[in-house]
Amino acid sequence: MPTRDPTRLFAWQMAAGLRDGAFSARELVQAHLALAHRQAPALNAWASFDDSRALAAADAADRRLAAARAAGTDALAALPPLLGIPVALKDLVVTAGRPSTAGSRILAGFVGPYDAHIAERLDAAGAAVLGKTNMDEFAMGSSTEHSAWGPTSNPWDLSRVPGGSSGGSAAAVAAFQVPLAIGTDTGGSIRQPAALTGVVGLHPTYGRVSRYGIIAFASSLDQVGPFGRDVRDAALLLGAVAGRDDRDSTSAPVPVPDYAAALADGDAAVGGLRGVRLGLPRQYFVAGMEPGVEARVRDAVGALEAAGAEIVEVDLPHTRYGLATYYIIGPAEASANLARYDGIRFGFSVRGGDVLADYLATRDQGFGDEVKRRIMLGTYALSAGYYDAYYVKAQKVRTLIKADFDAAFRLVDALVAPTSPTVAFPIGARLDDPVAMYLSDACTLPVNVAGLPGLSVPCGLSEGLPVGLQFIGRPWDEGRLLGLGRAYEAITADAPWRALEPTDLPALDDPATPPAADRLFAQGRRG
Amino acid sequence: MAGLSRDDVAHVAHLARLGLSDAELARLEGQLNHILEQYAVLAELDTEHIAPTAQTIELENILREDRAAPSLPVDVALAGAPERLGDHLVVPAILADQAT
Repeated sequence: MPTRDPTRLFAWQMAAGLRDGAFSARELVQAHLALAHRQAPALNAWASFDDSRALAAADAADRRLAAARAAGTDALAALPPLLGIPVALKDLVVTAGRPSTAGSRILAGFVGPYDAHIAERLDAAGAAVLGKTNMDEFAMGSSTEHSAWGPTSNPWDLSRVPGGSSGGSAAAVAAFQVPLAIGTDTGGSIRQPAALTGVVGLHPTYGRVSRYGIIAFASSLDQVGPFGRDVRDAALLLGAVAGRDDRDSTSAPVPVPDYAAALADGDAAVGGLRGVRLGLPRQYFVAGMEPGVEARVRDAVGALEAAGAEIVEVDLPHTRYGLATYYIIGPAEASANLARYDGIRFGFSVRGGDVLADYLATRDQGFGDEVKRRIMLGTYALSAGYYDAYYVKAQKVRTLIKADFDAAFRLVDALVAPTSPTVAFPIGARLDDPVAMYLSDACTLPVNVAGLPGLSVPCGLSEGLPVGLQFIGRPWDEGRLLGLGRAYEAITADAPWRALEPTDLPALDDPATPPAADRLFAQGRRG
Repeated sequence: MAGLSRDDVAHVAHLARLGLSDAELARLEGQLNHILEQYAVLAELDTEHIAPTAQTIELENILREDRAAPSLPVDVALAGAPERLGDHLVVPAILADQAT
């Protein structure tokens, strides 16, 4: 192991390397920071770095490792699994004394007054937080182009988007800059970028992870979840942050299993598929789905069936109403949540002469186009005379969408579906057509509307770009989804595409590669 | 569900406290109407007897002990204020005749 570049390892392998003394936590953290800094201009995956905090965490981890090594094998085994492991936070996770901008000019210079619950949990676990990752402004977008700090590129093709809104987290994990990253998923913002960058991403059940200290977008839909390069790593990070927190009344008092410990390997993982009934939703093979994506997903379903799973076609008849439902409820909640950015209490501020002029100028100059569009939609949907026609109507359709899933889960143990109807698209391609952009999430947003867990795992390439396979489960059934993902990894362990690294990794290290920010300018667009 | 006129868009922008330029209003008029057309699909569904869902996990009555605990120190809470006077936020006077 010492001869291998430690950034190429999975987090669970890094943990073993730290315990074996193959490398120190400081060496591990320094290797990741060096890579992330060196490639920062070309990839633009990061919003801010926190080298000193990361190195302090690494040194603390090295001290705990040394003490445990002196005390014996049991003490080493008792150390938390993420001790000394580098982690990234999406730039909407507030941490004390550090910046969080949520990709928005309106939070430029904002410094967190306290730590988010998940930041406290990661600190307690001994993880080394390297910094915050780029994102669509306030998590509104499917491409990470709607960031005030410029677009993030996809390591598989730097001219393409990494998906979004957690595109910085996904790209950083795909490029080996960090093994684990936190994202948030309101309509697909973890699963879709995971699919487009070839990594694993999990949207937990609504209420599974505390949102205390997470900058809000849509409060009945937002959920925090992990990215990793394999299922075991995603399970480790989920386990480190999940569970009830009294400061978030929507976090649920539901026991959290040891997700990583429950995962099997090799034949045992595959054996777990026998007798499992997986539903294939007919409606998720949507119009506009690329043939290459559909082929990879159907291949994956075939492989699961050949390995012992029973595949049953199921109907989710209200799927076609998901997009409209989501694009009423999400913007309505966002318009209320974002009312707090008034230029008076914190953040960006423009003085206009009186209070109303302050609001108008601050919010016009502070918010980007997509955020304004959603605030406008939400304000309209909640306004007098339209509340029943739009907002209440959408909440009623939400009941129908949830009932579709409830009915399906009486027939099957979990659902298997595409994550995204397309592979990564070129930067700039969908910016002028919001409805085309919104269709990126057609297969993920019904899961948020119903509050269910969803896991995306890589299932091969189409046109040289990654395709994601989505498992959708009953509430609180993340463990089953991770087991299914692990089984799929075991089935395809020897597939040639598993050995491939992202195509444009060499370009990230080429000094001639232009900065990511220029790629929107190249489209004739402002960053 | 009728479309939005330019005046409607300007009215919603005012409700949302967004001081949009004429160019932004013009662009939004087209985009919002296109999105509202997508919403029309919901009218196909008869939802008269369907209860609305506000949130998906059935948590209610989250109670905690009524016990005093430290809150954010004033200096921390005000650290990001654009303008501050002592322990206060500075805002423009709301009533014109009280302006100084």
